[in-house]
Amino acid sequence: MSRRLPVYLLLDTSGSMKGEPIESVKTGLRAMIDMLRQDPQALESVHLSIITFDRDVKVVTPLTALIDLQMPQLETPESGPTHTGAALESLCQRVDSEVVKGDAETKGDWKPILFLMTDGSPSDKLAYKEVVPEVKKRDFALIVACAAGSRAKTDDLLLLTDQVYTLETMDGSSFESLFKWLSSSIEANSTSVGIMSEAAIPPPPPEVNSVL
Amino acid sequence: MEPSARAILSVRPDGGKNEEIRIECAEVKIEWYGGEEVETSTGKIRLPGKKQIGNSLKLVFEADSKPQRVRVTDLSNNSPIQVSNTKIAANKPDRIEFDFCNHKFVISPPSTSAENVSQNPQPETGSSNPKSVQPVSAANQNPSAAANDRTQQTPKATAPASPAAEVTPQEAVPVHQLPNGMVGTEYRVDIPELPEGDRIGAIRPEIPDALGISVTENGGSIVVSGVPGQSGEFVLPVRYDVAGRPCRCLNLKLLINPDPRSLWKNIAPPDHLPYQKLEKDSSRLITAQSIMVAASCRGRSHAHEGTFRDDDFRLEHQDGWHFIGVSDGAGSAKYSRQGSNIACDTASDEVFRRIHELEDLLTGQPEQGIEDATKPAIGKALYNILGTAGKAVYQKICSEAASDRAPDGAVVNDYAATLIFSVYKKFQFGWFIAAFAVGDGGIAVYDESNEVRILNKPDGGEYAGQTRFVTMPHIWDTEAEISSRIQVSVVRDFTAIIAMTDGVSDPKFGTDNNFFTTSEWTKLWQDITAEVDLNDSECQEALVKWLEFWSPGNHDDRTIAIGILTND
Repeated sequence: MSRRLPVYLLLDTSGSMKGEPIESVKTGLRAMIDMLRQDPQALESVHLSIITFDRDVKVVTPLTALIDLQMPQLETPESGPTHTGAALESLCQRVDSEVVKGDAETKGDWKPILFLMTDGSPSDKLAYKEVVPEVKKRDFALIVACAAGSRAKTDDLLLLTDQVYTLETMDGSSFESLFKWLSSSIEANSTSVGIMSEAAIPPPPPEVNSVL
Repeated sequence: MEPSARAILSVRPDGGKNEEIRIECAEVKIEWYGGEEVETSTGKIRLPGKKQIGNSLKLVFEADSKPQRVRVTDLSNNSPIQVSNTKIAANKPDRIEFDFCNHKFVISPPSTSAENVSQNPQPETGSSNPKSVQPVSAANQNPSAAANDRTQQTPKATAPASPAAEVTPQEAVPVHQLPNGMVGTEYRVDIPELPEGDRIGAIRPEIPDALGISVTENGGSIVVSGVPGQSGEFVLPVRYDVAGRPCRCLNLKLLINPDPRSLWKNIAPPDHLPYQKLEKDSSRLITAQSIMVAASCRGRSHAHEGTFRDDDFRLEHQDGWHFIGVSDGAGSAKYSRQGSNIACDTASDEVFRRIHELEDLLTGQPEQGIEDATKPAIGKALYNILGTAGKAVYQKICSEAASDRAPDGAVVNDYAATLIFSVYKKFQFGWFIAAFAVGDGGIAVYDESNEVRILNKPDGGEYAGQTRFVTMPHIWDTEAEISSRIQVSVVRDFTAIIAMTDGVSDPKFGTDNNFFTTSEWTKLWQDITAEVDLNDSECQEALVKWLEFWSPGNHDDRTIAIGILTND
C-alpha cells in the first residue's frame, strides 16, 4: 500500500449556512474533489474525511481514499449553536484512530492536513479553548482555517493556526475559488517531501484574504 | 436509493425567449437558456444584462444540429456530462426528450403561441410551448417550494404559467450509487437486492459503448461489469422486467476515476535556473575485482511539476578501493539537486584523499582475519576518513551557499540532501567494506548464499518524509553521533553491495522490518537481475529503465548504485 495523505475537512453546517451558503460549499467541495481527481499523486495518496458541525458533530465521511470517495449529503438545521469545540474533539479522536504513525512494521502516513471552515464563532468557547492545544499535538502538516462571510470571527481561529483566511462573500464562485485553492494546497503537500521547511501552500486567490 | 435531486424551474420576465431552468441534482446545477449558448466565465453563467449566479454546468440546446441533441458540460473541468435517452419524436421533429440526472426533460422550440405550458405528466401529449424545458419527472421536491426558492434569485415570473405549474412531479426513478471504478481496470459489481426484493427478468440498459461498461442480469441480480474506457460521473439508466409487474426503471450512478498513470505529465525543468541537471544519469566502472553500476532517474512527481531530479550518485576507484555513493536531495529544498551533487563528489574526493591511512593498517593483516590489536586503530582511521568526509560535505555545502556561485539568498538548508556511501577493497583476509550514511534510503552487503548485512540505520520518523540531511549541523556535533553512522563488514565473498535512495527503498521495502529481512533483499536482487545483466557493458541503461518500475504513490526520484564482483 502506498502512503496516505490524510485530509480532514471540518465544515460548519449551522443554521446560518442554510440555503445558498451550504449549496455553494457543496459546489466548491465538488470542484475540489474533481480537481484532486485530475492529479495523479493526489489520486494515489489523498484520503479525505468530512466532518460537519452545528449543534451536533457528524462524521459524514470517515477517512476514505479519494479514489473511493462519493459526495456525501450535507444538511443544515434551521437554527442552533455552532459547536466548533466539539468538532475539534471529534477530530482528535478520528486522527488518533485513523492516522497511521510509522514504526518497524508499519508504513506511516504523511502528516495530516486540517481545513476548518466556519461562518460564525464557536458557541462552545470553553471546550474550543481546551481542545486547541490537543489539536496542535496531532502533528498536522498544515492547518488552514477559513472564516466565511461577514459574521465569522477570526480571533478564535487564530488560536488554532496562523493560516487563517477570510472569505467575504459566501456565494458559489467564492467557495469554488476557496476549495480549488485548498486542492492546490493539498496537491502541493502530496508532492513535497521532507520536513525542512514549513508546509508550502500556494498564494490564495483574490476571493480569499489572509489574516495576519 | 432515495433520489437526491430536486428540480427548480422558473421563467424569466422577458418572456418566451429567456426562460430558464435550473436543476439542482445532488451537487450540480444546470442552467439552460433557450437555444443559445450562454457566455461563461470562470465556471459561472453570466446572464445577459443580469448579475452572475453560481453555477457549474451548462446545458446547451443545439437547435441547429441534426440530429438534434442536448449537450451538458461540466464547467469545472470542461468535460461533457452524459445525458441519455435522447429522443426525437417522429411526428414532432422539433421536440427532444432526454434523461439527465434522474430527470426526464422535454425541450420544445419556440413557437408564437404561448398559450399552453404543459402541465401534463405525460410528455407525449404535451403540446409545444415557447422554448420550454420541463422536467417531467422531477424528484421528491415540492414543486411550489422549489419555485419559491428560485424566485428569490430571479424576478418573479411573468410567463403564461406559474413556475410551479411547470414542474410536474412523477414517480421518481430510484438511484443506486455504485462503487467507483477506474479507467482501464476491470470493474464488476453485483447488485443483489433490488427495491422491494424484485427478482428481475430481462434487462434493457441504455449505455454508450465507449463507456466500456455493460449491465446484465445474472441469477436475478444486476451485474455491472466491464473495463471502463472513460472517466467521469455517469448515470446509467436501466429498465428491467419483474414478473407480474410493469417494467421498472433504475438509474445506476457510477463514478469512473482516471487512471493515475495517464495523468502524469513530463515537463522539462526551466533551463534558466541555476544548477541544471540531467533528468536521467547512469554510469558503469570496471576494475580488476569489481563492476560498479549506478543509475538515477527523475521521479514522476518531479517530472509532473517540471522540477529537477534532486538525486545524485558517484562511482570511483583508486588503488583497488571502490567507492559507490548515492544522495537524495530534499524535495522541499530549492537547490538540493546541487546539494546531492556536492555530497557525492565531496565524499568521494575526501575518502580517497585519506584512504591510505586505512590501507597501511589493513595491508599487513593475516589471511585468517584482522588482528584484534589492530582493530582500535582501524576504527580510529575509519572515523577519521569517513566521518571527516561526511563533515567535509557539510562544510563544502556551507561554503557553496555563501559563495558567489550561489543564487541570491541561498542558505545552507536550500542544499539539504542525504548521503549514503561505501568504500570497499579486497585484502588477504577478504573484502573490507565500510559505509557511512545520513538520512533515509539504504545500503547493504547482499550475499545470495548467506544473509544480508545492513550497513545503515535508516533515519526515519513517525511520519512519511521525515528524515535527516547532511545540512543539519547537529549531526556533526559529537563523535558519538558521527561514529554511529559508520559501519564495517568483512566478508570472504558477496553478491552485491547495494546503495539506494528512498525513492527505491521505500517502494521496495516499505517498513524497517522488511528492510532488515534477507528474503526481501533476495526479492529485490531477483527483481533487478531479471531485467539487468550487470556484466553487460551497456547495463547502466537497463538499470535506468528498471528504475522506472511502477509503484502507486511512490514517484520520488530514484537512484541506485551497485557493486558486484568481476567474473574471473
